[in-house]
Amino acid sequence: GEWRGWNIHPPGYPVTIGMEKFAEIIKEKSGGELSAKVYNNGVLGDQPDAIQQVRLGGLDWAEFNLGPLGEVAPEANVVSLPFIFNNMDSMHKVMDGPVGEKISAGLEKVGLQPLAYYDSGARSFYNTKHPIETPADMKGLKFRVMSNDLYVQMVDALGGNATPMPYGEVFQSLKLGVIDGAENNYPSYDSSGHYEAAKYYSVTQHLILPECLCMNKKLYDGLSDADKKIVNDAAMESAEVQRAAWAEGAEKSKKEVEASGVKINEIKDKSAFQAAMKPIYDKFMKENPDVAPLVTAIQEAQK
Amino acid sequence: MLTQCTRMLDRLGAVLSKVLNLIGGIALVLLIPSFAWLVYGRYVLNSTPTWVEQVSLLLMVFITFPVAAAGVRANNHLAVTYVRDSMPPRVSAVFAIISYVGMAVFGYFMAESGLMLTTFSWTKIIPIIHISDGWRFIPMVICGSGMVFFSIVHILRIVCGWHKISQSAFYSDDLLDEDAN
Amino acid sequence: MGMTLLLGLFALGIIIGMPVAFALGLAALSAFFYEGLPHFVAFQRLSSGVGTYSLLAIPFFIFAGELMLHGGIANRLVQFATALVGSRRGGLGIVNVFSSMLFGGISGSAVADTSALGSILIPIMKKEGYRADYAVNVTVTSSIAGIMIPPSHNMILYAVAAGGGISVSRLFMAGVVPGVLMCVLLGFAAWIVAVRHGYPSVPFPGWKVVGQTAIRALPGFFTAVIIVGGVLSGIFTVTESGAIGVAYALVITGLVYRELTWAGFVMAVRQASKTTALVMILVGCAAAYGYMLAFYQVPEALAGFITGYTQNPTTILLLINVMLLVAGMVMDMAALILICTPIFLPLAVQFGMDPIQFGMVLMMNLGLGLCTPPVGSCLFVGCAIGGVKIEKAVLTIWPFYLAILVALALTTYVPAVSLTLPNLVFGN
Ligand code: NA
Ligand code: NA
Repeated sequence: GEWRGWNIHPPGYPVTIGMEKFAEIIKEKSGGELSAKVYNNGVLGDQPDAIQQVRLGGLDWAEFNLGPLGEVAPEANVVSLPFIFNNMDSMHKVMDGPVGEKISAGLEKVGLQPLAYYDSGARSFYNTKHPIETPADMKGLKFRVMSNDLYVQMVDALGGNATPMPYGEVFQSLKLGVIDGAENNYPSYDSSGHYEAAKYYSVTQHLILPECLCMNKKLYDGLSDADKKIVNDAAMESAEVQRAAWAEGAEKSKKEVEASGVKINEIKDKSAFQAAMKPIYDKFMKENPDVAPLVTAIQEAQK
Repeated sequence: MLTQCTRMLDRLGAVLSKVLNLIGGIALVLLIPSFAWLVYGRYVLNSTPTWVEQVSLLLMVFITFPVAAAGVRANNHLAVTYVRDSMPPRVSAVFAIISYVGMAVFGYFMAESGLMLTTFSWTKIIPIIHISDGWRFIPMVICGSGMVFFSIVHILRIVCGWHKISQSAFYSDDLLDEDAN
Repeated sequence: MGMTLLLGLFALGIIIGMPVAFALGLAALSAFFYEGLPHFVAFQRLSSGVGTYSLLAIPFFIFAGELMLHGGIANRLVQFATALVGSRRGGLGIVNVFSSMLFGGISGSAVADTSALGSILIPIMKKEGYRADYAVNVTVTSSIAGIMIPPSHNMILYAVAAGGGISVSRLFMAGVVPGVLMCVLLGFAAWIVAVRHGYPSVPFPGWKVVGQTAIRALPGFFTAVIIVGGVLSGIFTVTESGAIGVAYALVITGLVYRELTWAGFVMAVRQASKTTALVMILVGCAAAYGYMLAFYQVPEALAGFITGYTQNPTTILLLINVMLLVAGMVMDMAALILICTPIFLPLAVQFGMDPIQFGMVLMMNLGLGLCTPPVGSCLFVGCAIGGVKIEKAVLTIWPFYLAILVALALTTYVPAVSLTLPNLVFGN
């Protein structure tokens, strides 16, 4: 039957465009034998639930961020280490190489068949007070982060006050001063309206989290070789479409927030930020010895 | 024989529902100091306790499911009994039995799925507080089992008191000779 | 066929008197089996629905309301209102409405309002020569103010049902004007009826007594100031303000008023955890049901059906109102917020209504339903307290219905009624 696909984003969003492209291609190439449908806006559940559903076969395919995937597969958690990628290009280089394959293998172990890696840009800090040039500028500021130990440790290591909070409460909290800042990519900073409340966007790019187009492993394994090829090719093609749409959207959002008076500052030298991450990396490698080589491999690949 | 058995189960149910309500009440009370500490930490210590969000979500689950199960025994769930109450007593008793059967079935699948989700999520760790994600689903196993048990007792009570059923009798506590509440 | 199963089994469950939550859950579960979807997903949705962070404020508000009931805050508010406005003609009717405005501003629950104020005011009114049905009617209709005037846990429920994109603080602010408007209109209706029946007034006790009762009532009323003020000033989030409100109410009722006993505290905890569980299990089951509504694309189908019939916004808003009213008459509020929001909100938005404004319209309609037969928990509680038969109370309730309907019409067709204040406070 028709594969049911989970997507957290609204129609017209780069990920949605990519997923629809995938559905279109497999239908066309298989002569209608394979078909897939996208349920947008997360109507079939939130992300952790949907991950569970794809693993157990409650959903057939989906597009997930590697952040929450890291909770179920330690290999995927590696990319959540702050400042692990220098920039978008080196993330692409790493993910399209042997490291990407290792991460894919980790996801396969928990019942997910990765098909392609999508983009979700680079996350940077924004706040209501002043530009962040060095870690010292973060001292005492309350930053909202997602509920993930690594992100909490990151803000604390930089001298800020990490405040996990549901995404829906962030706008009001910024506006009213419950928190001083948060962190996200340009399109989310723009569409959430957070830029109206927090006018300083500092391009730290501390998290460059790829996203994964994936399907239920059993379902994938049951496909004929010909169908597998159709699916893989379609996924790769859709990733190109998604990455292009993402880059375009990010640029547009950046221009828009800038036009509204947001002060964007680039950070020329990130070494002070990276140096502050040392204890976090050490702790992570000690606690996850199995994936430690992966961390080293990512660092080597970017040298 | 059946009546005696029902009475015994009902007495067991009374104890069980007290325990379930106690779990929920404690979880509710624990929420207050957690949030007081959150606010205190953020403003006074300038270091927000990061565990409150996850712990409070867990507490919410521990309030809802046990107390909801006890609510099946006490018949205090929101329901529209208007139609049922305007039926002749025997018909409304049949309606009640069907509805309890439905609730028992729902409870069975809740317990079964809860158990499955508990075991499946057992190795996943809730971030920040570092306990098993499986804990989130254990209250559902309790609630589902409780629903099955309480629904069956309700059905038995109706069946036992069949000979003297009157309007709304099946959700009053004096259906059996002795009030076991 | 699957959609019929989903909607039909739910209706059947309701008719035979199955609790709404489990009727929703069982109907959803059957649809899962029918479609061959793994049924654990239904319970995963249920569990996640219960564990929603934004809903954590609900147990706090309910708990605060229970503490006020058992700790002496409610009767102090009534004493203050009686001293202030009791000397007008038919004054106790107006006292009743005014008390609801103050009390509802804290508990945010219409049923708590009815039982708390009703058990104090209805006996007093009867003793002073007011007819019992009048006392009941004023009490139950004015209790709807508790839903509109912030804080209100039903608005949090609405914000969550709407998908989390609506700010609770904005909703809170939006409720003030419609809530006060409703109170003014109800007070007017109470006054007219009282004058026609020649109801007496209590003598004015003098400004000194007004001042004294105000001072006695103030610490309790401050619970509302803390909750709403904490949110508006940005000191607390909505959830935190609820927790702080409870902590404050504990201090006031336990240490200042010294009316909260250990037994009263235990009772408050029991009642609050019970109400919380009943609402949250409903939220969870509605989430499972919502999964299948989304699966069958029911909201889109309904919107298509209605817009195929008419495209006139005025007619469509009227139609939405009528459907909500009818639904409110036969079912209870919390369930309907969860069921109706995903179905009607997109339609209302499509025809130019702001989601905040739709929230107000939804609250008023469903609130009115709490005071109507055949199913209206406020009416039931009020009649039980007043010792009046429901059929009899309803015979003389129409002036109060009329007042609410006027407020409803203004809220539906004049966006400024709901939107001016939040826009003023938070900007557009
Ligand atoms: Na209120
Ligand atoms: Na009703």
